[in-house]
Amino acid sequence: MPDPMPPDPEALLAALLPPTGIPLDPAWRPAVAANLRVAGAIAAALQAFPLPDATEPAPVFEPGR
Amino acid sequence: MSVAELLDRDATGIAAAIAAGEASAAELAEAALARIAARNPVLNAFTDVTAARARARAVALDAARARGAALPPLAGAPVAAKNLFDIAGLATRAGSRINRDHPPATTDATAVARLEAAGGLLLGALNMGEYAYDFTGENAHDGASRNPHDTGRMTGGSSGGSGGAVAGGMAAVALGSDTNGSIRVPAAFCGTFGLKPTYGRLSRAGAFPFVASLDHVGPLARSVRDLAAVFDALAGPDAADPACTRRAAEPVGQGFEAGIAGLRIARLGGWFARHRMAESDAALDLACAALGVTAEAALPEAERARGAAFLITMAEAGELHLPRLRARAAEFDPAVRDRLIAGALLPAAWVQAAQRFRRWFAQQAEAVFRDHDVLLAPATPMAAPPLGTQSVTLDGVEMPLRPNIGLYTQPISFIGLPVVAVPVWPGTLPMGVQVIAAPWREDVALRVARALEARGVARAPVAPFGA
Repeated sequence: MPDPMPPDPEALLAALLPPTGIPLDPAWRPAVAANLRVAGAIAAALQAFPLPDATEPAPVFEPGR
Repeated sequence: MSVAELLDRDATGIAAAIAAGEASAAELAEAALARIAARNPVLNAFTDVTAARARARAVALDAARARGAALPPLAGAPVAAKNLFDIAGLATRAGSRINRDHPPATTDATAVARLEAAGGLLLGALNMGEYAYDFTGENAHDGASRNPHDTGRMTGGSSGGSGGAVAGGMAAVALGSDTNGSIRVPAAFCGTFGLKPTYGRLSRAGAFPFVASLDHVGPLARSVRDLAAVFDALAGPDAADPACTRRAAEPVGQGFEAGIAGLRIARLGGWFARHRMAESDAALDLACAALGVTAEAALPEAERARGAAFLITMAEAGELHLPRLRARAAEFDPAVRDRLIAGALLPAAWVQAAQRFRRWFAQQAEAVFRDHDVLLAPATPMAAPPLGTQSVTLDGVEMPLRPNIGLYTQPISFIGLPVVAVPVWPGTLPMGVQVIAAPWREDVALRVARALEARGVARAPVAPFGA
């Protein structure tokens, strides 16, 4: 199985920005893309690390509160 | 000793002086307000001063003493809170331009209320990086907090005003918050003690959120006994914070003096030994030498842990701020806005992978703590950089400064471990050492911090004003 590749940040930005409704000033676009590039590299490294299926996510939720 | 000189004591020492009648709380409040008036124009730590409230609290404490009532443990100690904590009567700006349009808070955050109930004189609200997404203490709207030990340098952030107020002698204790390092970094850069408790230990109710999965609150102070006293004052369940533990409070107010005999202490290697600059090496060496630490421990995959914290932070904060990004994006600090927008776009699978990795990494830490009681690591790779610094060279590679200030703090808060940030002085500027314990063992971290303080290695003096 090939390791996931870091995604193209420009392609991500073009695909994912419209549903958010955020009005993006073109001047901000390079910095947003740069942040997506960093995030994509991190995500690729995380997804390349094999976790057991039984390893559950660890956010916080306690029923009854 | 003059009342103004009393301000250089720690909170416990100030409270003892007031209990002994060396000064009244009212005199102390006036001295503290005068000091803020003199120093804050330079240090820019306070964004709001609650003079009337501090005076009223002081009058009540003096009246209690006059009638022979028992005083609370921190009676008369000057305290303040990062401006993301609700303070009744103030709009909770959380370092932002946007939130100052909110109506004033009608009640205090739980931590503020409990600190005042313990006798603190609340002097005001403190500068911070916008929405806590910051390691520098620079704020695009209110200006940078300035480091009292060198006013041309950063305080660190995001609790920058908290570090500046405590090191600058304007407050003995300041409340901060820490999601990825925002208590430990300013404590390190400003040379104060800081306590990031176990995730869920202290109530965050009434503190403006940043990243619900990772947010903690805690104190910065000038002594370990003050950290212990404030921890005890703030601890205890609070139904208003969904993450706050239902465990009964476990007081540390006596036990922190128990010494370190029998404790298994190691320095962290691996990720925590990379990227160091000479000053972080020297700081850790000083602490290890003072404690006789020679063992080294490994926390595997800390780099991935840091990355996972980075993704969770982006995603949760991006979603939290989405309504503001849609309506008022131009009013954000640009550096914060660009990360938040990117965070709002992250694919769900990336964030879930990070949350699952969090579980795995916490299990690795649990295994490490079977063999060790305390782990030591630098708080930051570098001492406080000059204001405006954009890049840093680590291991021969030039990198952007801002995200890399938190290299060593992020993997630890990612899994909610309790940490005392301890100020040591390898040169003229302070550095921080993280004293890290197993979940719910703040008592053990405080014992080691106290040992470093008692051996003279860790200290948090008020900076000479004008430094």
